[in-house]
Amino acid sequence: MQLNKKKSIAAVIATATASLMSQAIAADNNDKRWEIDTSVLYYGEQDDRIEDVSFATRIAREFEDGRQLTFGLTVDSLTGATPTGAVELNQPQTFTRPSARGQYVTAPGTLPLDDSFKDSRTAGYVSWSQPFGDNWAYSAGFSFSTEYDYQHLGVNGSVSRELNNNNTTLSAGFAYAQDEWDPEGGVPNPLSELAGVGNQSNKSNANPEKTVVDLLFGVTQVINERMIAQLNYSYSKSDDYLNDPYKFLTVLDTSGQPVSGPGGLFSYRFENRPDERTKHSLFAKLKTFIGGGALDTSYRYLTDDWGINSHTLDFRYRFNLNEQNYVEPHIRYYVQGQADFYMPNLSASLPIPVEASADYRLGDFNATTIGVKFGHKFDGGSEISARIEWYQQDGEAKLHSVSGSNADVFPDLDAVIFQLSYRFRI
Amino acid sequence: MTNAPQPFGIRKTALRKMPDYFLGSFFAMGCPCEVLIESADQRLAQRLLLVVRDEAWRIEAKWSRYLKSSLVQKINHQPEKTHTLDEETRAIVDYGQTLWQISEGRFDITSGVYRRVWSFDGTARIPSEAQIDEIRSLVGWHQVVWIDGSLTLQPEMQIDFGGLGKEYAVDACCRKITEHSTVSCLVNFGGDCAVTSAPVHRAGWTLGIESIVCTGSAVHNIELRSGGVATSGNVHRFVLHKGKRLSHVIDARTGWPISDAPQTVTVQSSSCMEAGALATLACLQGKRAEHFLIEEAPYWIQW
Repeated sequence: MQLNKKKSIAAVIATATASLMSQAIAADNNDKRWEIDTSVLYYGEQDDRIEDVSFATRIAREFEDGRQLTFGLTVDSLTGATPTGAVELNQPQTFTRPSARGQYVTAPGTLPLDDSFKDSRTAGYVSWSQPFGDNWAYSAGFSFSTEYDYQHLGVNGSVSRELNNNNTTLSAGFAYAQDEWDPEGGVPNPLSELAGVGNQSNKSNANPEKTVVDLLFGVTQVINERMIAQLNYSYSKSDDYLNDPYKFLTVLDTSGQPVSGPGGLFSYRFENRPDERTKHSLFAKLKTFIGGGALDTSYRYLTDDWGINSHTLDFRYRFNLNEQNYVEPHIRYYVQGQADFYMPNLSASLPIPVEASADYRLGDFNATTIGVKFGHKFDGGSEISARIEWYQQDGEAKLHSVSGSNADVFPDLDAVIFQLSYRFRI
Repeated sequence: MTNAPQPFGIRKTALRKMPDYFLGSFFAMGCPCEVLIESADQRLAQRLLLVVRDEAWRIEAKWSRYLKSSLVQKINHQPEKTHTLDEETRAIVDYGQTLWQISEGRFDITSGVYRRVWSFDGTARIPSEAQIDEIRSLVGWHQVVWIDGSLTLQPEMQIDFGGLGKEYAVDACCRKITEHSTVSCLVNFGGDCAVTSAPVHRAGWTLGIESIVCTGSAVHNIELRSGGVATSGNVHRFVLHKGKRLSHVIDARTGWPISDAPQTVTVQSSSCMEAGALATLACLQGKRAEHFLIEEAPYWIQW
């Protein structure tokens, strides 16, 4: 093409431009709008305690104007053994299984675990979000989960408002859940004694319910191009049956020895918790772009009327090694104070309290998680990542009203978490 | 509820109510960007502003030679590797190739490396012939292998879409707006503009061509009703050589500024992209710029 044929130049440019813009339209229409996340997660506790293998899928479809449909499904398979609440003794202990059809024996010096723990769980949710009005958006969702002895149904909704040219987001949300227990062997009467084989006189066949109302208020603020801050307050109220029907406490005399109970067993009493729990939590998060990577720092304070106060500090730093690969170290520290009614055992010489639980999750403990995630982005936009984390829970509990005993009876916990995820668009 | 990951590089985005339109502004591609929306509906204006901004940021993230994660940096980082490009990037590379052909090599998307020796900061820093010679070997589309969407450069060569990307973004944003609304908008990225459709309540969107003598004042006003306007050349970028102001427009073939080039060439055409291409090619014609443009498109030249 010669410049002196200048008549044609504008025409050539016009043709080239038309071709360029039509290519762009074609490329745009090819936008892949289904985003699919899949992952497999392994969680394993030490000493053959709980193992969980879970498969999760999240599918999101974005429509015009920011409307979005998201749904997800998780299938879990749990096996292993979990602490019953009973303390270890220097003699063998016999326990009746929840079904009352059999018994198992725990060796001296061993933490009693209920090894009949085996369950599969299916959980799913659907959520729709959509902008409306001036800078508003709402979302509405439904969730469920089902397992052998527990059903959950929930609804949730939220509204958010963008202010200050989307530099500020205010949000408010609620969730309501109605759960139902159908425990193996029936619901034990609170604080009744563990009975022998075939004896279900202290259990009822009711299906107790639990309702939970959650409210959340949050603000997210873009501070500058390298910093985003988020602050949330949440309120949660649970009502009705909040016990764990499989947990009980050992009754010990002042010398630390078991006392005898029904059916030739030692005396163990099923736990009882308040039938109401109110939690308040404050969550603050700062996302900063620093040193070429993204640092997430968050802190959560939680307090409830069971007397539990907890603090969580979490750091994640995502750093791009190069165009395709990133690494994300993660450290989390959690500490909680025990519930008012937490006690590792009951005392034979004192009246039975109205509320008592030896569930280690209600005790004094701290937990540290250390992990790292590696991710690889493919040219087509899909991404694969692998995460490995170690979880260590360390608690302290002294036997209740046992003279001369200073031993720590808190069942410490170590776990490993491994997750493999793949995200793609179609 | 607000746990969605947010991108970094957030810059202040603002929407202002003007007498009979909304003015949205943000920052992208190294310049202030504006969209003027002929509507009284603030919600709509807000939405269109974000549509334009996100499209501009998308293109910037992909093609900016300054952003670490951009495709252009990826190519320049490993020039001798064969890169298979996406459709949109293929299209703009093809466009660059067309301009290279019709400018007989004066325009070249591989000429950005001359910036290493030419710094147009108003000083008299002139590179030596030897320095330019050395760089010149790294420039030239004829050295590039460009087959079926696969690009392979020679070692140390670089590409960039300076002079194309911003104009493309203006047109792309206009197209995005029309997917959402039929109101008339003017998209203006640092002086390169286009409109989506003719405004209803006025003759056209008024654009002032900034004077090179008196910054901030307009030497001419254009009433833009359709298509786009782009300017090539820059008032504030030049070097002094033997008492003469050399233009910042470099002839890719020689590595030297075009002599006697106009200071700015502004062209109006049916799109910002076309206007930009014509203005750039005209500048590269030096003193024949005007001759080149006559009969091609409405233009305004400042010498």
